[in-house]
Amino acid sequence: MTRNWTFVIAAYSLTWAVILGYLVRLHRGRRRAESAYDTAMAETRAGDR
Amino acid sequence: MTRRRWAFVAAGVLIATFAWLLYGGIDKNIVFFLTPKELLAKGAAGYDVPVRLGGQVKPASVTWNEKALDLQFVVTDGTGQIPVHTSGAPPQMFRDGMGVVVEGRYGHNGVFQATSLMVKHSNEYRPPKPGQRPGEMYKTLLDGSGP
Amino acid sequence: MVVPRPGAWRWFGVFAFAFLIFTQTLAILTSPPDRDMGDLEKILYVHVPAAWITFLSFFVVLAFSARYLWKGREKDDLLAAAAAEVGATFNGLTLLLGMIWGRPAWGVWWTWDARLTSTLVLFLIFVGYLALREFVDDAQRRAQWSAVVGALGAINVPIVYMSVRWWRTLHQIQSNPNTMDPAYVLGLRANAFAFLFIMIYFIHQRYVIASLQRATEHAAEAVALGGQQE
Repeated sequence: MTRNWTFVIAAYSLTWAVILGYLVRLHRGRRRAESAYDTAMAETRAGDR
Repeated sequence: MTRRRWAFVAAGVLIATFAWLLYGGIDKNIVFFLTPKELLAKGAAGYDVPVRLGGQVKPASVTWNEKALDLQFVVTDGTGQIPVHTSGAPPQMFRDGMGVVVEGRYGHNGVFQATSLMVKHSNEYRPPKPGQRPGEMYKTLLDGSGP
Repeated sequence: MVVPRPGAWRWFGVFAFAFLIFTQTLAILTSPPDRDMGDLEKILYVHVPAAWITFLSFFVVLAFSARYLWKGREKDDLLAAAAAEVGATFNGLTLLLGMIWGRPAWGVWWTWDARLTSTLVLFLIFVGYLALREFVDDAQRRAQWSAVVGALGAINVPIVYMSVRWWRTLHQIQSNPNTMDPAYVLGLRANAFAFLFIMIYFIHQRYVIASLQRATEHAAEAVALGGQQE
């Protein structure tokens, strides 16, 4: 039965690796997108003046 | 530009796979296996060609030599039946009455020589009956031979 | 374009992940080993929800793609793309989990039966969809082409779902509460909801990123046009 648990543990580890990996990717992407947006908006306002 | 290169690789893999599927994959695999009745109905054309055979393990037909890793059983669909011979330990769910798909050739001696054995699970999930330990059914078959 | 900013969504994300930990613990602890496959039954609670969420994500792609083609709103294009990326991620996960389950239960990592093959084809279609979005630079053309590909790709979802009934496969047909002991049904349903919450959170997050990027591009265009903000 221990052999079965190896596969179960592999399945759950993979699930969490994919979900957390994607979560980290989204958080990084969001931070990058927000700072790019803020920079662009600052430039737009500078252009208005 | 690296994202674009990634997209190129993805598109390449995509096209290659579709080409492969269209070229030979689909028509060979849409009928995943033949039942014993269908294989027997093919007559002479059914012998000695690579084919998948699927059905149930006929109860009380299993002979397992664990020293020689030699496994013999009969696959049935209720009507036809074909004896199968293979070597190596079967998957853990293999037992009497279970659905199986074997890959190999049907020999002129009337025995299907299988190179691989797959167990087909039903859509049922049940706890073992009282007094029965899970996995015991296959363990009796596999004792001492499992990896 | 209105750019969403964090708020209640952050807490929804925290809740979704906490709920997933809860449902997984629940399922692992309460489900008895199956009489045929023993403890391998535990893979049910990740493989099946992942597959359902894949199907659902691609229906979301279909819905927003169709609405984009109808109304032409940029927002719908970005939502469809977000759902496609999340769906493709879960599609890949479903395939890998199926392999991990198949090796000990069936005896093989992979076989070219109709269910496995059609699931792989579905994955490749949406990888192709995401690749297409990288190729096309013009935003409107990209949105139109992807909407068509996304809608056509989603048509494959019912084919994948029905493949086990239409053709002979190694993969078994769908289970239902009649073929499963209640002890398994509860864990499966709870985990399906947990995956659903994760999916909603992921699609929203991905959509926020895309709309921030679009807003940034719009702002840059405005600067280029002489400092006029849209």
